[in-house]
Amino acid sequence: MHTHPTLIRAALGARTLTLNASRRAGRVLAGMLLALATLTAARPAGAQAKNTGAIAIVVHPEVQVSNLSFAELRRIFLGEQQYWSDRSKVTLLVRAPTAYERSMVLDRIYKMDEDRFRQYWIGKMFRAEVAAGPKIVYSSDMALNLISSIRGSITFVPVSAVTPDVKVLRIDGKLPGEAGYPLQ
Amino acid sequence: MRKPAWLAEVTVQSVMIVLSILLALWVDQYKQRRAEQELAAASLSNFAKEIQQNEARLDDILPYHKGVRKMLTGLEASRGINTPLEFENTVGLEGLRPPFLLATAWQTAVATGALTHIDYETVSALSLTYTLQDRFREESRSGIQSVLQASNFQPGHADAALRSAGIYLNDVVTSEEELRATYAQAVALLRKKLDTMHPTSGAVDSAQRRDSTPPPQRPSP
Repeated sequence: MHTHPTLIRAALGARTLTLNASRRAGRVLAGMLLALATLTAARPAGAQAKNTGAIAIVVHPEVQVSNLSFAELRRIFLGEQQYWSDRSKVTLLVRAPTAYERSMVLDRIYKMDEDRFRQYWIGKMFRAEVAAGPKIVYSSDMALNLISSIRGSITFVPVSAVTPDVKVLRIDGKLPGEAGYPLQ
Repeated sequence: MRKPAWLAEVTVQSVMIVLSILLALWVDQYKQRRAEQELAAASLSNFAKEIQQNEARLDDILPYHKGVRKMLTGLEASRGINTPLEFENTVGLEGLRPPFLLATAWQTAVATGALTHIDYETVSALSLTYTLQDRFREESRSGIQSVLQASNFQPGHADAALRSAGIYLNDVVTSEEELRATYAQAVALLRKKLDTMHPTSGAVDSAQRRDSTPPPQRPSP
């Protein structure tokens, strides 16, 4: 019969039993870690790439661009380039604060923290350089949903969330997961 | 009988004084009229820029609101949202927010009395434009409150919030399209007026180019 360790400790107050329980727990933990390591090693390469934390830059499928240099990507995200080459308007969708992909984009693309990011867009609106700041999305699903319905839209999502109905852009000729891709 | 010389001199001097006073009055009146015209022109130019900025903001937000509306319809159909937390994490409130539209040109024109120097037809069109803008703001405010009311967020009844948000966004999109059409008419009227006042100023065109039209064709990135 299995007895809960807390009840045993309360009933007997036996120090030796507690030590035994700790050792047993340690062994179980070590076993779990070993099993996890084995599982990770057994994963196919594609599945591993999905969990590297890479961010994919996705656009509406009709956007006539498939590759951007990192500098061009920066210009678009900074609101300095507001139109695509086919003259359609760029609609920038950005995840709400606290999402890890937002933190990565702020760090790698904007090179700003949250406060500076906010001030940057307020300044641009104040100077009438942009009509409005980026549009906020609350989840990868929302981002992808809007990307597929807003012509000219661009956003970033974790690679694992990408669906076939959006277009993933190459950055400096690299796709997420490839060596030298700047957002991983 | 000859008139005395001093009488002729006095007459000439009197006439000169009267003419000088009349000339001074005319110059003063001319300057004042010129200042009023400049105030009216500056005011019209401000109106044009502001309305174009507002128009650009509507152009910017309209596709987003339409996208969110479409997403809400899909979510409602699939019953994908069941709790208030799911609603918050999936739809959020930012997607429901109306654009920030400016009315500073109107307020400044009222405060400086510039409207009294603008013709009736233009003032009437501007008044209508800003009245519609105010109505849009009020409707958006009350609409968002109706979405956020507590009864929509009872556990297990998040579909009510979805439905309410869908109705609200439908109204918002319709109003935004109406307001956009009104802005376009107001801008056309202002452009005509400004062209009459300063045929070569191009104030409206430069503002338009800055905010809402694409730049000249560039090579694809």
